[in-house]
Amino acid sequence: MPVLAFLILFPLLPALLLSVVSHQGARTWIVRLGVLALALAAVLLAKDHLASGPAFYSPAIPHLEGAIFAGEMLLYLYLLWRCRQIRALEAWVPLVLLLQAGVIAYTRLGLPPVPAERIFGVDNLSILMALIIAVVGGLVCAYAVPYMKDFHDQHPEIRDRRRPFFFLLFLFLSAMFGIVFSNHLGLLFFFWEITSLCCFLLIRYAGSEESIRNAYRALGLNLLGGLAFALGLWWLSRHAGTLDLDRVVTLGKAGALAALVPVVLISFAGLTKAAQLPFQSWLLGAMVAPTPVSALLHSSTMVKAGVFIILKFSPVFLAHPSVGMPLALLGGLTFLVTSLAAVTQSNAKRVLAYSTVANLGLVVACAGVGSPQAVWAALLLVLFHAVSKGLLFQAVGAAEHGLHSRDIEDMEGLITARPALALAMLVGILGMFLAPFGMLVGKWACLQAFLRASPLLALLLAFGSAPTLFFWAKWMGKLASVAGRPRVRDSSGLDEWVSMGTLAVLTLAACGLFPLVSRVLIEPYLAPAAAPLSALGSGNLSVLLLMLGLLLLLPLAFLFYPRRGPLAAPYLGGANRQDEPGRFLGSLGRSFGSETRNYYLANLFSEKGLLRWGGVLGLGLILAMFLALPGSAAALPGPAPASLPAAPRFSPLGLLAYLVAAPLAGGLLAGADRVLTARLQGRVGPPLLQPFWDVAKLLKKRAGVVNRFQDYYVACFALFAVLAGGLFFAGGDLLLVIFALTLASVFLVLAGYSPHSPYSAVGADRELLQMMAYEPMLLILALGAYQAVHSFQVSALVAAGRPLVFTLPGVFLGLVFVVTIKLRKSPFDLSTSHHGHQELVKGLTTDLSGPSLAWVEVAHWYENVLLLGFVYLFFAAWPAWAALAATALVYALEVLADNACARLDYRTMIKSAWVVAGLLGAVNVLVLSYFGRS
Amino acid sequence: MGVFSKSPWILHYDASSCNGCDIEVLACLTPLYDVERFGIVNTGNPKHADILLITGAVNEQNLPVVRTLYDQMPSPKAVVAIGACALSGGIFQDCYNVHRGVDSAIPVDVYVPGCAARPEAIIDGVVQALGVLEEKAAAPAGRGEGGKAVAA
Repeated sequence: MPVLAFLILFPLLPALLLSVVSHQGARTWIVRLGVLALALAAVLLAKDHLASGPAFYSPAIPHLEGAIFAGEMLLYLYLLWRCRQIRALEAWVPLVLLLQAGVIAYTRLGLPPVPAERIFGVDNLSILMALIIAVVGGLVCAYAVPYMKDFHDQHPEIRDRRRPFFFLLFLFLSAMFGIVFSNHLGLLFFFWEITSLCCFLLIRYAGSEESIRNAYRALGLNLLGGLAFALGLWWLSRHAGTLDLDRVVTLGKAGALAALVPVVLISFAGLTKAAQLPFQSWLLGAMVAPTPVSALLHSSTMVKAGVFIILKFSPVFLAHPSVGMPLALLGGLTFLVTSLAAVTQSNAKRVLAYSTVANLGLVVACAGVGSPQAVWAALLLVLFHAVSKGLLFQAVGAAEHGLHSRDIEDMEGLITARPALALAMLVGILGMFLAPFGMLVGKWACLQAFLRASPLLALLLAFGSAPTLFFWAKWMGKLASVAGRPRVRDSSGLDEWVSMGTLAVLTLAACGLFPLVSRVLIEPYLAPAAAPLSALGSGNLSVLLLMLGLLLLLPLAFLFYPRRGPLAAPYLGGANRQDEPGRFLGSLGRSFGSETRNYYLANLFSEKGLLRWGGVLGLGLILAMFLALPGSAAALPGPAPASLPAAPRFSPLGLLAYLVAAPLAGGLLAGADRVLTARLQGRVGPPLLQPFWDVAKLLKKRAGVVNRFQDYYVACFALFAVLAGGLFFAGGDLLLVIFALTLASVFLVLAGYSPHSPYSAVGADRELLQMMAYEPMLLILALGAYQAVHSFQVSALVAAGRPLVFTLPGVFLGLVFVVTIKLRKSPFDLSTSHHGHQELVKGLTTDLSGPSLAWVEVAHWYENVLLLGFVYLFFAAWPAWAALAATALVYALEVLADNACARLDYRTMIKSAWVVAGLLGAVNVLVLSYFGRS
Repeated sequence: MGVFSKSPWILHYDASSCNGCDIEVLACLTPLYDVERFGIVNTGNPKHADILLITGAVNEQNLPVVRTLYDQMPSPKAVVAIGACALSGGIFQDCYNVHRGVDSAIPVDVYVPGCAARPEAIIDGVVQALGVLEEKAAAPAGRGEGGKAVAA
């Protein structure tokens, strides 16, 4: 209890000190010491409580109710006074405020007082949150000290109000601790409103017209949530006679309307705070605030309070799927819509903001499902997201101070201009979307949990993952492009680097140590029988660790064995200027630089349209949640706990066979492709073994690279492509295979971006567009396979009694469609082509030569065999010769299509691939799940 | 025969040719001649190419381009000059802006005469270049770049 009180009350001390001190050195030390104390206290709390389990405290606080009431009324008065700058259109803000004050006043004064029994509570969820708030939030505060000094040096027109600024930061932390430790909902509500207040004041810090407008919007939407919260409190006081969170959850699980209604109302408040559709606008507007504020809002405070309260109610949603499912679908929808919206943005902070909303959507979806595995995934997501997003915001802020821009396009070449900062940013981005890093592990667990609850949710996740991949990878491409920018002096202060460095290390460490975190912190929180970690499979965890090890060790290998020989210039149609690297001689003898811009897919969808329709659907789902209330009073039995999948059986024989035979088979396939193509064109064509000669020759060429990173990317591409196939043929987890394949492709794309040649860069852009097109269908392949045999294990799929092609005809056709894209066959050979018909010289591989190109080629062979392995799965129940013949037929058809089709543009590709995935794949999966399974 | 003669990848550059020879070069790819039978691929990318086919009499404007393309080809590599202009400047040799043939810009290994050069002659030139490639591959790195002329 003392530690708990310390965490809530202690931040007020630095807050008060900082509100009077304006000396930079003193401020630095107050923040450092304060943050250190908080972090130590949080660790101490974790150490004390992890062993003893959940505990409740009811200290005798005299006049607690009265004090809360007085505090709330003061808060409302202050906010009302703050509302004096509103415009006519914002009149609803004070209106909501007054309504809320009225509801609270009526509840407190008009109804008999409700005795508070358990005022504070500590369980593993609150410990996890406290660690995040103390460590990540604390680091953000430390980062803020030098940042704000720079900020005011660069913006002399903004009034220096750093004293209230730092006061608010620490007040924010205090209120967050209050939220996670309060078991008394009245008290929790008070802290809840304080966070809304802090958020409002921090957003309007700059004092510009825009920041004031956005601050009012944030205040208004949060007050709307607050109103729902207040109504929930009123309902509880009137009908349930308790304000204790744990009692409300118990009552809610039992199906009492007295508790269910407030649960939905308070979850609504959580949705507004977590900026879910249709309330996302306030968080987007909040980025007018200085970057530390965004980092704080997005990583450790505010939005996390929203998902925290929804997660607290997850047992209720598990017991009442009719209420939980609309909530889960709202989360899934938010994930899909905001991921797409992020694609349209070039402003780094807006991309980050949309990504925050999207990931919180996943957490909400997990909470709505409520099964132990879903909650496990949600907690991992909350943890990983806090660390990575805190890092990313800080890195973007630091970049902004150097570049005077937060546009991603302007971050081109950061890897040579500011290597350390680019590395921090890359680590943050990797942490957000790629295997083996944190968020992907969370998504993986989400997918498994969603499949057991509702395949529709899993489909939303499948479609939402592709744009996520797209917008992160194109950002990475910008950073990785070696544009020959001069090195920029790093202006970031020590505290900024300590903060970013710690978070970067945490991001990396989190993906190595998450099994430990899971065992110590998360699993005790869940139902005793649940073993979500083992659902991922211990073999798969080793594979993840292997991937992590490879990623970290490979750069070392390149450090110790540097490539000899000079660097080559990028290909610029031969018109390179010798004296100016990276520029070319254009018309009239003038020198030109090449520039590429990312794709924003504005001609496919617009931010406005997405949010409008997403908002309408979101409102509908919220309404459905309320409408489901009356019917859900009779408690429905939760879904039966699904049996754990059998331990994965890795077959070393398959792995070995793949490693040895795949390049042979892949090379022969490539040769057959060339012969068949020649015959179709009335030619004789090369010998069947030609591809092997080509690779042998390439390996013997003495070729240079454009920059030192290229080899690392190529090596990673080849390694992970082989790893993906190896996993597949060893009978491993199909999802992990797809994730590894994605990781490999991202590295190939980076290899294309890195030379900063327009040809490679356009090829890389197009490769990303291709990935965006095929990714949903690949995930649907895994979902469909799971629906058919209840396992993601390839070994289980092969053992299926009935050919999958009959169970999953739609998924099969969809797969054949996207395999065309993946094999780079016309009409979808946008990024590069194995034949001569490519207007981009060689697209993606233009600036690779000699051995590098040979490795890419061999990796393609491995990849193609893997893709045909996917096809083979559908016939695996037949005798081997028949299945192989069917697979060969599919391949021949792909070659035929390659020769019979003209290339389509990327819009048609993405649209058609998504429509096919939706109409054939998704419908197949849904039909299978609703009308019995084979 | 080594691997280089099994997989000659070609870059074709038009250094101010009248397009007569270019059409003949491209004719080699058609079903009638089908040079892919010998593993020959028209890559269009110096970084992938082993053999540079140049038509036309290199002028002031494209001289640096010819040199850059040649430099960007990884070793071992061979150059085949195709057509009268590429050999000596041809009928353009007295023009104020014309260099007299490709070997005034970069070392040429094989000369294929003709106006325009016939596809058979071009193919023969490439086949002779294969021998040059193998020779250069056998030579230690950095040596044996160009210089040796083989008349076709």
